[in-house]
Amino acid sequence: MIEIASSLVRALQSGALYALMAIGLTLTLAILKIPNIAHAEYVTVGGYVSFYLINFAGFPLWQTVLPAFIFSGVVAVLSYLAVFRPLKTRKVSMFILMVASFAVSLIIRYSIYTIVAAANWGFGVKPKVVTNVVFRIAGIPITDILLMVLPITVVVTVTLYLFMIKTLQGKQMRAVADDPDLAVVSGINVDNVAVLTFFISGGLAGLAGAFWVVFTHAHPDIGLEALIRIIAASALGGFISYPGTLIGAFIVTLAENTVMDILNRNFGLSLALKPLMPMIITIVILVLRPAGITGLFSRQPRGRVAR
Amino acid sequence: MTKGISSYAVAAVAVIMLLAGLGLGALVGPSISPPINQTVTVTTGGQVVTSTVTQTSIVTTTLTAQAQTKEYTIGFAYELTGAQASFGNDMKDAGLLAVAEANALLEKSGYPVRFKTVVEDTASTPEGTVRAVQSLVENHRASIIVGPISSLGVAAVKGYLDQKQVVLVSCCSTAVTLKLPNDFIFRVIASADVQGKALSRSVLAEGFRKAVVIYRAEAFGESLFREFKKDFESAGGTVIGVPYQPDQSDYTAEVAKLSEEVRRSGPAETAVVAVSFQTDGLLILGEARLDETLSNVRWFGINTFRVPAFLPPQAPAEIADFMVKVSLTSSYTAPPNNPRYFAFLESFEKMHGRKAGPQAELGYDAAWVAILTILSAGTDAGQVLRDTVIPTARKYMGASGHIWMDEAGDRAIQDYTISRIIKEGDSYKWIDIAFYDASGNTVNPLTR
Repeated sequence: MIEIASSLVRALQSGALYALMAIGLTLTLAILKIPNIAHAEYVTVGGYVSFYLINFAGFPLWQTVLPAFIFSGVVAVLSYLAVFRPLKTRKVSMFILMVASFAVSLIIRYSIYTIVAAANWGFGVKPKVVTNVVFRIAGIPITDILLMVLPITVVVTVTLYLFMIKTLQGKQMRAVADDPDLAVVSGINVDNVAVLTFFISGGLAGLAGAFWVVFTHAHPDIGLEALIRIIAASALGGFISYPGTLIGAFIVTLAENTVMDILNRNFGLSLALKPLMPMIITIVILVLRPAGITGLFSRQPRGRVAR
Repeated sequence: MTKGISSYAVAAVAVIMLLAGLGLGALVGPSISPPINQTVTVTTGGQVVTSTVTQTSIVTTTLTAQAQTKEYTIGFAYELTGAQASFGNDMKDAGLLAVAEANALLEKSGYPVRFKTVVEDTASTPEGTVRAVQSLVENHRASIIVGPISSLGVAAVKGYLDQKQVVLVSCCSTAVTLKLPNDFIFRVIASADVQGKALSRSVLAEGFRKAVVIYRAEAFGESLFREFKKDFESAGGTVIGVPYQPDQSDYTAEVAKLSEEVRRSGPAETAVVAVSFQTDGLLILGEARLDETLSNVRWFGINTFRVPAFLPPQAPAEIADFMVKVSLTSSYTAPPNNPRYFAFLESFEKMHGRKAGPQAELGYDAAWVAILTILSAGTDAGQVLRDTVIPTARKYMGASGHIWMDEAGDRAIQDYTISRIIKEGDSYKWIDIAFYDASGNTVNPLTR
């Protein structure tokens, strides 16, 4: 029983991080209809900003969070301005946008590879700040990362929700998501909305990366490794709902931790099969329920941003 | 008249002199060419770096020998980035030393053969190894491949190399599944059956009869686990395995499972054995230090844990402190401590400006076996090289000792040194505590 509770706590920690990563992907997809595979690289960018500030500037982890958010946000905006905006202007298909995002992803990743190699930072290096146990409940360790990540995820989600429904920019984003042509006719500057969406999306990924790099290690592939989980979480949210994505992220980590634990314990299924879980979830959702879990709770038509 | 004849004679002599001069120039030209250059091409993380090393030694070879100098390409496929980068860079540099030494000797003796090296990065992945080896064989026409470290990498290219009939000499691959006669794969290290026994005996020697092994679920890890389990259980012990998929960024579930198995087995009498590489090893130790049970049991590990990447300044001090707390004990191939080994250490430092890492002598010996095989065969025909490797290696006394290869092309005899990490002041160091004698399958404490 303790083991199951322990795996639930682990799922909570990883789930919060995957949620931060995945919400951005859902935002760009729901609002701009851009399936941005390069989103995973913004996680890596944020991770390296945090790694650099911790290891070479002596920053504590919490002070790296804002720079990671801003830097990743800027990289995301640059990728929009350089690649996605010209393609959107030409009204290319989503397939072309996705292929372009693969290219952007590779360019960012190999740029990071080049920088890391040139700076001789090493690959797979642990940042000098490590996770620590703050207290234990019935022997289950509660770490400082969990205590930071969980409230931040909740605050970010609530803030984003309020931003979307209360502010002018949020309403404009929803308007663009509903009908970009009508939004233009209504006087909304779609380009500004796109820049803001990319900044928030990339920033959230970078924020997650800042924590993720401490949880794991600094490597140009950390975003790529998380990509399938990000897609699985977004798929569970039907690729349009960010509360759905949030819940999806926790489902993915529950499957990876708790469900795998139960399967291992009761059926002897090897834990080496753990990485298959997000892939199975993604395929099952895409085949059986493309609308994700969101459709289970609302009658909202597909293609609209759920609130 | 006399003047006219004289003019023709002068013209004829001039033409003859010109032709003779051209002929002589063609013969002598190569021998008075600039100093010989050794070109080393390294591909790392998608970047190609070509450097030219100028050899300043005096050329004393004959005209005939210089005119017919044959150049063979030795392809190095090593883990320059990724989970085994620390080892890979050391092995590559040790191999470059061997080639530089061989070229200097050949040049001095006037023997008309030279070796060129091309280095490709496997990125510590099977896919990267396939790309690296294919590039070496197809783009660079490598006569022989040296490396990689990983059994997973060797397994990934075995079929391709057998089909292309290109010999590979690995410094460090130990998977038992690759122990096959009549193929093109050779290894200057004993396979995992010996390493597994050494690890098993080092745990038994400390009085443990129960072990929980967390291991990489791939060729190397599974081989080692199997051999460890066989030997440990033959001595009356019990073994539980916790396999994990390598190249993940999160091992919390696996570490939790490890902890649970240790608790179930009884922490006081159970040893934890980690069969991990650099990246996954760091993540597992980083997670294990948060676990109360795993922080209070004795840990054993393979040679990987001895690389500097696990210690400050490369790793957080908390991880090194954890290693000290659990008295992490690691077994590694015992260096022979003979003049050849010490000469290697000295030459390595002289050439690269840093000390050789653990087991770098195996990279040096792998390259020398490749060089001597080509020289013995006198050709780079794959079949001939394959038939020449074993007899050549058996006559070679390397920096890692005598490389007596068995019929499968693997080193047959390998002793191990067992060491434990300690902390002295603010620094961490490995101290040798025992010696594994492969011939008797026994562990003998070192006396000092």
